[in-house]
Amino acid sequence: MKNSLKNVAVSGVITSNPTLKLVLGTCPTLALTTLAMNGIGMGLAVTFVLIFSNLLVSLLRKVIPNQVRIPAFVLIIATFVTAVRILLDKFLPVIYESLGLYLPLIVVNCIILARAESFASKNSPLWAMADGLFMGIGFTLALTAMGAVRELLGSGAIFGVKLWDNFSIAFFSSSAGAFFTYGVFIALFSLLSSFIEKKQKDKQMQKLLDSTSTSEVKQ
Amino acid sequence: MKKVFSSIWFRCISVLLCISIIAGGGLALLNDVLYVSPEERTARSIKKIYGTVVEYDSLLDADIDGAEVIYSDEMGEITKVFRIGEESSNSYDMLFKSTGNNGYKGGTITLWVKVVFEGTTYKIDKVVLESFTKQTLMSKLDGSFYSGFLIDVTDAYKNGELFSATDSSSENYNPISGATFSANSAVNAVNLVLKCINDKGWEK
Amino acid sequence: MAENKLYFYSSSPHVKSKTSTRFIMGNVCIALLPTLIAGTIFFGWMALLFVAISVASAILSELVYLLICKKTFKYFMDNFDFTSIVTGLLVGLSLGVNYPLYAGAFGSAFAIIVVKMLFGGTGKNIVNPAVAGRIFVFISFQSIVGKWIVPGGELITGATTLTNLFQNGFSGNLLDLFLGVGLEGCIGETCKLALILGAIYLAILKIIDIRLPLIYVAVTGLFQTCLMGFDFNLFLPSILSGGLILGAFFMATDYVTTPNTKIGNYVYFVALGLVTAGLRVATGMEVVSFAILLMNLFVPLIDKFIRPRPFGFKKTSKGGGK
Repeated sequence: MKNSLKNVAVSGVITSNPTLKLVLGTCPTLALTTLAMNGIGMGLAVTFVLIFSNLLVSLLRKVIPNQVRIPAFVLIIATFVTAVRILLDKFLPVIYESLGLYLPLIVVNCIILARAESFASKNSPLWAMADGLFMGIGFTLALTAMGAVRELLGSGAIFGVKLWDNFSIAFFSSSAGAFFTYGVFIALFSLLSSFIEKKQKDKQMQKLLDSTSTSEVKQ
Repeated sequence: MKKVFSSIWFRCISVLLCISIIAGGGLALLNDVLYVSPEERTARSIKKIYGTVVEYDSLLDADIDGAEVIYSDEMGEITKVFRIGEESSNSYDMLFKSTGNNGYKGGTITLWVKVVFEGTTYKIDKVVLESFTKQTLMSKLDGSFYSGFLIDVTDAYKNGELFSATDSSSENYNPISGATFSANSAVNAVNLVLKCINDKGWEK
Repeated sequence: MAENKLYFYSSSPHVKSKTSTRFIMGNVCIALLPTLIAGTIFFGWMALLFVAISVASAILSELVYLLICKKTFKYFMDNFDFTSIVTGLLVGLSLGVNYPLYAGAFGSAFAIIVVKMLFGGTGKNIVNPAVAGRIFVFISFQSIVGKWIVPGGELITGATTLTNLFQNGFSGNLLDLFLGVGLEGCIGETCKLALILGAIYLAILKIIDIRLPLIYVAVTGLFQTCLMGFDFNLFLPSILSGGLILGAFFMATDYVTTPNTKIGNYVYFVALGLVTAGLRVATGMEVVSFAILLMNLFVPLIDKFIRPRPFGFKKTSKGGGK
């Protein structure tokens, strides 16, 4: 299938959103959406790792033999995760502390391995980077939205700014609330994407009808 | 010989080795360049308390002076003491990193306690949670709990009357329903700081 | 006439007509009235307001869900069995008066929409909605207030009788514990006498089988005394404190979430007792609702292994035959 920037972008953010459609990488999703800021931090780290590991995998795709491709991918991903850890520790210690244990866990995040396996090892470097970027953006958006909702309902603040004082439902800050919010988001997202798909199908159907009617007129 | 070099196993192993060596070398370089020293980490913890970077003197630091804790008791131990400001001047701050024992399931709570010395009086100015072990209800110890510690240290305290987490009749403290053990451990940490100031004679 | 007797050990799905479910649920509401009255006497008019808000929210959430599913208001009125009222009542009675006013509203809405309606409505819920609503309220609104109100309105800090039991042993008056005088806790739990009266009413009407909750309560007490050092002085206090009586008689006996067979029921309630006592001693908190939730999830497993005998089934001897 021919790659176009629009295809890659739309697939990364909407039609194949890794968190809400492919349901990959649920471990950091459930654990780090307690605060919206955590969501952004995690999203940035994963995007960085995605872009560069996709790039490297794509560059080396002719060199790595087929039998060892998974260990090779994991090595490459682990390299970049360590690099991110060192960079965050030096320059953004606040994000580093808030990510905590989940930063080294990015190595086994299914999103990165899945994209390396299914896209980067079969496409040229530029497209691989673009795919990594948009997958990362989709992941970040999903995580931030979930984090914002959970933070708003769970502690009455958003991005650290306390909006109201006495109203909070601690259920949404707990782990049970994480699963619940995740489920609700997946349901809403599939509702949204089914609306969009229906509209696209209607447009296509309309185009088809128009073209057949004009061709009949031509005859 | 050529057969070995072009066999599949050789190629696999060599590719993996190459990636590891190059990646490892690159990461080692990156680590050296962007190294964070213990002093910088201490400065970061202090920045958390003060909000900005301040000059400090490390009076006693368990990480740097050797593996001994500075001051310990059955209530807990103090592992770092910093002084911000000149000792000769009349007003300066001291920052204690204190760990209190006897928490839930025998765990501990570690707090940063900032004590402000003004002339001959001193008061606890800020108490910030650093870490804890084995406690499960830390969310119940919220801002109002820690603000109960911020008092001027009167003579009564100097004479040994300390904070108490379970005595509901005293004005010091409201017991926290359900988190009494954690509250106990936090109170132990602050009491240890007061005791340390008394014992080491740091109040004038 | 045979129709007046209510048999309740039949295999699911229950064949429900509007009258029979409404009759049962209506009587459960009546049985909960003494508890409501006792709660109002002890805690004031706020208790009544809390329960009213919970019930209203339950009914409203069912209506809103049906409207979103494109059913009409007439459909709602025709199919209204009082299960939502009972759920609202039970969630409301699990609150303490020091919770925020909207706590009951959110708890009931969660219980009805998420646990009952999303899974298919009456008869198809996987866990008891009142238990789920109670847990929701307990998790969400505890942090705002960590203290209980003693009847009479004075706000005291400190543990309820149950947590005190674990730390200091029982030091109060047993009769006070029974009658709920001067105790702190949830609206519906403090007066055990009212709860038992309601349970006896339901047992007379044969809506619940009184043996099963009694087994639950007895096993909890026994196991808890065993775990706490075989001190049989603690038997009565451990039964009477916490939400055990309310949970055992009104929440654990829900038809949909109990096994279908007699033996299955005995296994279920004994297991409930063991789990409640074990979790109580291990955590020192009130765990009745969590234990009921946990065991509700095991009911399909019990049903799979303990199957009801088909009507007319005769066991043939092994290797038998003519």
